[in-house]
Amino acid sequence: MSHNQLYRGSLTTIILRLLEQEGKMYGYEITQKVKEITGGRMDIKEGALYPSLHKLQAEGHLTVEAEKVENRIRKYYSLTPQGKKQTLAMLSELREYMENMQAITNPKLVF
Amino acid sequence: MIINDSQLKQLYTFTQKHYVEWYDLQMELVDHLANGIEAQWKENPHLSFEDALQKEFKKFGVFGFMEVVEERQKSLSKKYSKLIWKHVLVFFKIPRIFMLLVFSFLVFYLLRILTLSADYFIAVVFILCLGYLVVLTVSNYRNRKRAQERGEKKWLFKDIMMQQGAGFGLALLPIHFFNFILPNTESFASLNAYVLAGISFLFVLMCVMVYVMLVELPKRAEVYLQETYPEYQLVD
Repeated sequence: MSHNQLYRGSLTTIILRLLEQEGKMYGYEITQKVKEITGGRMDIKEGALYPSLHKLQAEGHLTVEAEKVENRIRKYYSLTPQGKKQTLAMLSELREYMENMQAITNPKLVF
Repeated sequence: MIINDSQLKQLYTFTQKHYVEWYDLQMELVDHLANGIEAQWKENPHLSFEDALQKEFKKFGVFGFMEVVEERQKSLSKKYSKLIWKHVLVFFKIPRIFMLLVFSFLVFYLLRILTLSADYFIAVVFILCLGYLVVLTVSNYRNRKRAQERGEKKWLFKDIMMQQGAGFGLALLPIHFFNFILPNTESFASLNAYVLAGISFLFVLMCVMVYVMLVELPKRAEVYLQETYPEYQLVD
């Protein structure tokens, strides 16, 4: 991920949102998807992605399935019903945060 | 160009060298590295396997796989404690709650009639636990060696389930607090009945926890491993 501290706090939201859109994804796919969407401006650090995925799984937000792909085993993550609720909650929280930041950094002047 | 079997083996060895002992984590990281290397080959087919691997590994940051391993250990330990509590809570439901109460009463009764000094009681419990820890450590060591010789794969959650000894050692600490709280007590019989009842109940509860950790969970280990690792059955 970009070294910006701002992005780091949003990693969980990014993962949840991507899984909500894509259904199931594996770790590498998530890093590539973020790069693709942001036109390469944002790069998720692998050292942070897997801990977040495992944490979300332990909290019951994600479920894992395994598939044999070519000569190796791949782990796919997808949202649980609890994870879907969490995604909505985190997205609305993020939206609120963005609105507030917008108001602070770019206040509308009232005459 | 795709990763061949011998390169895949090299990737497993690479993760091992970077302190990822467990197969469940190795598998995920190996798949990740393999995907990354293959993507690099698409851009530059002449890149050597070694160079591509180093480049991919750098993306994990200065701590390499450490954070991944630590977080996994933390989350699976949490899962293990939750499992213990789930099994212990069954003892608070009918019919097992009767057993819990009867045993607590029995301990209470025994402590009442025995003019045993509290120090003796604690010493006996302490020695028993210490003995148990020694036996567990030795048997763990043997199992580990045997598994290593057979080239068995290590699963993190299995290791956590089999190494409950360490956690149990910590669970002993509260017992020593009795010593501080009741320093001048001649025997348990002279204690306030409520305090004694509390001690009896806690003692039985501790026994239940040990029973769950040593008997119930290992008995269902396979079920929990399959639940934790959907890939468990895909591995030969």
